[in-house]
Amino acid sequence: LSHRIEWLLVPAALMASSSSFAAEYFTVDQVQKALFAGATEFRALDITLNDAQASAIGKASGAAVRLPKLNVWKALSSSSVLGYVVVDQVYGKHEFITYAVALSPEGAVQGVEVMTYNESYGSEIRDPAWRAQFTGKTASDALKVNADIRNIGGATLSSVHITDGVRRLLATFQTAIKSAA
Amino acid sequence: MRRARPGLGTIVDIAIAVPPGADASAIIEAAFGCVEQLEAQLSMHRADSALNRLCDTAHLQPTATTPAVLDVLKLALDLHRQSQGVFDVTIAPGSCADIELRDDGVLSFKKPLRLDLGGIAKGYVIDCVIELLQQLGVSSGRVNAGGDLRVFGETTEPVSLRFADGFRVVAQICDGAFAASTTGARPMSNAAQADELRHFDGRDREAVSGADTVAVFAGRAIIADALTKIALVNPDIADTLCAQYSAQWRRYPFQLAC
Repeated sequence: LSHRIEWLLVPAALMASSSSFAAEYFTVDQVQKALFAGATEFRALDITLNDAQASAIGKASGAAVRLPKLNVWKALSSSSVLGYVVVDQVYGKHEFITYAVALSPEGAVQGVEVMTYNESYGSEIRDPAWRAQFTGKTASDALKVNADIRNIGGATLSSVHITDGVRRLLATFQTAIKSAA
Repeated sequence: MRRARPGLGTIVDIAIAVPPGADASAIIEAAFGCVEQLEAQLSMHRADSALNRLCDTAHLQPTATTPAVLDVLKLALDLHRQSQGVFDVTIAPGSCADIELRDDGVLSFKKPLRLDLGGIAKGYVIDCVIELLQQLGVSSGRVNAGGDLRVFGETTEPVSLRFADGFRVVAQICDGAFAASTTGARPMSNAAQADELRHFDGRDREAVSGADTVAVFAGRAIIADALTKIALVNPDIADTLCAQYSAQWRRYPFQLAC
């Protein structure tokens, strides 16, 4: 094996004024099966948080609720409850992440998987419509991205938004999912 | 198969070419399990980490630690010496010169010290994960821990850096590790965070100023990770160490975005 690098010339300014990175790891179907391999059914729970619930969750977790409609499924094997899958979205200044959390029947975190990751720099992020492009997207919808932007080095982005999101979902379980299930 | 999970304070992305007949999910689980187990030992943010337990007692009595902490500290002490003190994993006031490592791996501190392996541990974890993947029969793959990355196998991968006005592809790499660091203050939300991210010259604890980025390519991620910190501070020492560790580095006159 040979360690090799070819350094490329880096232009002082980009020709196009924007660029994006996208990675897709899971669709909803795939992540359900990955988080609960033994489940035979994923039953969708129809839960929309009311204002009082959203406010209680924000207070308990320190993370504000943005989307009152939950994406949550009960994982079942014949009649026994294996746990819950919650799909959620968080965003930072430049990144937009869809992720899934597996919860035990008692509401403990059993796993976290990133489903899609999008990151954008340049003029398009000043456009308020930037985040809107993700609304309603599933992992199978291809976003317009530069195919060469595959591996990003340097400038570590923090996982704090996901950590905050998971804390919010734990509060959501106690406030709204446990009783609805 | 490609998966990403939060870990090491960032998002860890692992991609593997699945060996014929292998259980890809089991390999991925083992890889993330390795990340978790090493983070629990090396983190300064967990009170019960092996690193913090070492710091709790090593100034009072000779103290043994885990193989992972020892591996990272050995290289950190080598780099401290070889960089004439520029590279230093101790938190001020203190210096790597106050750490004594015996041949049997037992450590003594000459005074109370706290250690921050943030400039080196992420690279170490990546190397350990890749070693594990290779043991499990994976012939090619990639581990990217939020910007510190290493690829292995006979594939060539483009690597980009994120600058304020967009991504730029800066290199094509094959079977090696890539890391980049930026100088100067960043637009952080609070001063403490900004302080943590600023890079220090271990000799006089002066924060490095300027608006440049350095990128390092090396065989191992721990070397690439550590050498970026040295290259930011002292190009001459970086040249010497790059020759010693078969690494290469470049400077860019732009700051990375974050």
